[in-house]
Amino acid sequence: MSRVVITAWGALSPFGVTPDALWDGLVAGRSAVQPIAKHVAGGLPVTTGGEVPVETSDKERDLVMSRRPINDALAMAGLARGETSLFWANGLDTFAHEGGELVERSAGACFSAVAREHARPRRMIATACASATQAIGEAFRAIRAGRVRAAVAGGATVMLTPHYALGFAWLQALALDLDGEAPGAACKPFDRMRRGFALSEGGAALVLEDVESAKARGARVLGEVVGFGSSQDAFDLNRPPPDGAGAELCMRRALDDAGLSPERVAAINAHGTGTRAGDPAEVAAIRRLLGERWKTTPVTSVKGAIGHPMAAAGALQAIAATESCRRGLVPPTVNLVEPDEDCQLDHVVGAAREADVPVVLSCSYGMGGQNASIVITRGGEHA
Amino acid sequence: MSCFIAAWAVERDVTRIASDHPALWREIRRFNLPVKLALAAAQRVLPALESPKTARLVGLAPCRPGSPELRNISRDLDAGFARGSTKDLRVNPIYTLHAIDNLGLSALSIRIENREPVSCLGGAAGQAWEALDEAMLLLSSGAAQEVLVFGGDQSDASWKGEPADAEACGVAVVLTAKPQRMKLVGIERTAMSSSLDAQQAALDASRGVPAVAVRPHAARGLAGWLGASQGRYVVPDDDGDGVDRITLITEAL
Repeated sequence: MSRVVITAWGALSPFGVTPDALWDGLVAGRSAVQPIAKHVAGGLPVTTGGEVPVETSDKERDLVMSRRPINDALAMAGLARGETSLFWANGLDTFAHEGGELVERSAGACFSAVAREHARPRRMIATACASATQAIGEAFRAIRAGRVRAAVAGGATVMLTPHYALGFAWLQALALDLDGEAPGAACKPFDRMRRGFALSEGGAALVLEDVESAKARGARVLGEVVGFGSSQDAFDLNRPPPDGAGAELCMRRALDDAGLSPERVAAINAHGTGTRAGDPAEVAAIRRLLGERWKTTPVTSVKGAIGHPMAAAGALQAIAATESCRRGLVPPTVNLVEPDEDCQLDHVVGAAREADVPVVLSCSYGMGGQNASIVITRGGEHA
Repeated sequence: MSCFIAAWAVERDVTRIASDHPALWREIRRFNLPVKLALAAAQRVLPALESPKTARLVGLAPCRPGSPELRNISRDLDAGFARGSTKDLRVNPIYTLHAIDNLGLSALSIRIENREPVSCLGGAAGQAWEALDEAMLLLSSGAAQEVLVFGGDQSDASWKGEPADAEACGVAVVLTAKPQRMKLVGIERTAMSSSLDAQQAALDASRGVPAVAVRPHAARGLAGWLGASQGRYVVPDDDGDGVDRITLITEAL
């Protein structure tokens, strides 16, 4: 079986249009969530979100959100599209406006347009908020088995639209506007006062390669994916089981796949969206996984800082998790002030924490109960 | 890499679900048409699974998700948005789920209590054949003993609330490592370089145009193949991925 390394990446996030902008923003512990002008003008009950600072036409935004991180990652890797397979999440169909008319943006058509020049397999992953982590995991599995030499994996989303803002508000998943609260404070993962997530957009692509191929062409190794696990809650269409059984199963499968025991987990980049039901379920799963080590294993969530970019979330998290391994630094969970009684973990709060983190779990849990976790290491030490 | 076809079903008539499977109907009646059809097709092949709880599920998201209800809400929202007032809009949250790509997979996993590792492929052209690849891989590698691939779809007609939709269907196929009468020997792909630019031009032209018909190629494509009973089935261009000529090879034992 081949080892699978991460050799390049690209990212569009509410912090900016590079992976460095994402990392710097996360480490600074600030929030990029802000009022969305058109949502304010439209009188929506939820007007905050994480908008990527890139100018595009409304009609083309989905393509840009996918193509740009993919192109950036391939340029960094020095690989052509045709040399890489594609495991990519495009999220859900959305609507845009063109000449005053409501226009549908098909996620499938977007994928087809993006995928055509890539090598086989070209796989569109659709497991809701778990999609990008699932995409990375499936790419990892294909390379490890020797079926693919190099792949681009990740996802993009343009769901920061009035339709989804209201749709998810109706599902009681979003943090509705609160008088007097700063927009950047809307999403409070694991906090006593959490009330949902902030919708956001973005895209992130990672280039995964067989380590021998990467070495042969002198590629820089940013990190290594060593395990992948997925599971289903089989519980409810809109909430996880309170005990987080599906999340625990998924994390354990990822660690088993890596041949690592839970004791080796040095940090967790959590799903942590700030919902009333999701956060305590995830905490319960982490506590059972880690045993007493839950008190000393740093946990962070990016969602307080950038909101929840759905199909892109897992890829942005994977970049953050890999950077934590490389730099020995775990970013804080923004807006987490007082962890809820049922959300007690070793949260990184206030400022980034220096820590030796050779092994990080990065986790995503999708609406409907599909769960995905990947295990990331610095690369090199896990032969 | 090969596997065996243990059972398959194509469901085109949503009204049959209520009479044939009233319990299932109660669970799914508020879902959108593609998901209803997908779950009805899956229901028909469940008896072929030795262990539904531990079978691997590979879901196919609808190429055309949504529903007339969701489409109407979008238009109401759009009108309210233009007026600067959307706060009075009240909608049943179930309609939001009509947009979710993995709704069918979630519903089935709950129904059969399946917590196994999972795949769900999106509504892009050609993903049905990727799903078969995934199933064959799982079975040939020993990662699974039986795989259920399933999905449902609709055309623009259903999405708009029109009564007739000849293309709407749900499809489910059980693939196993254990020998059956029909063997899926392999899936061949060769580049269709001559038509690539034309295919892409069509794709690009179709993007974002309001009147364009999204083709329900995933479920329809699988249904076409399963119904053809041919040793070598060349996937019609409309059901392919726009890049490769795809041929499925089966063998009756």
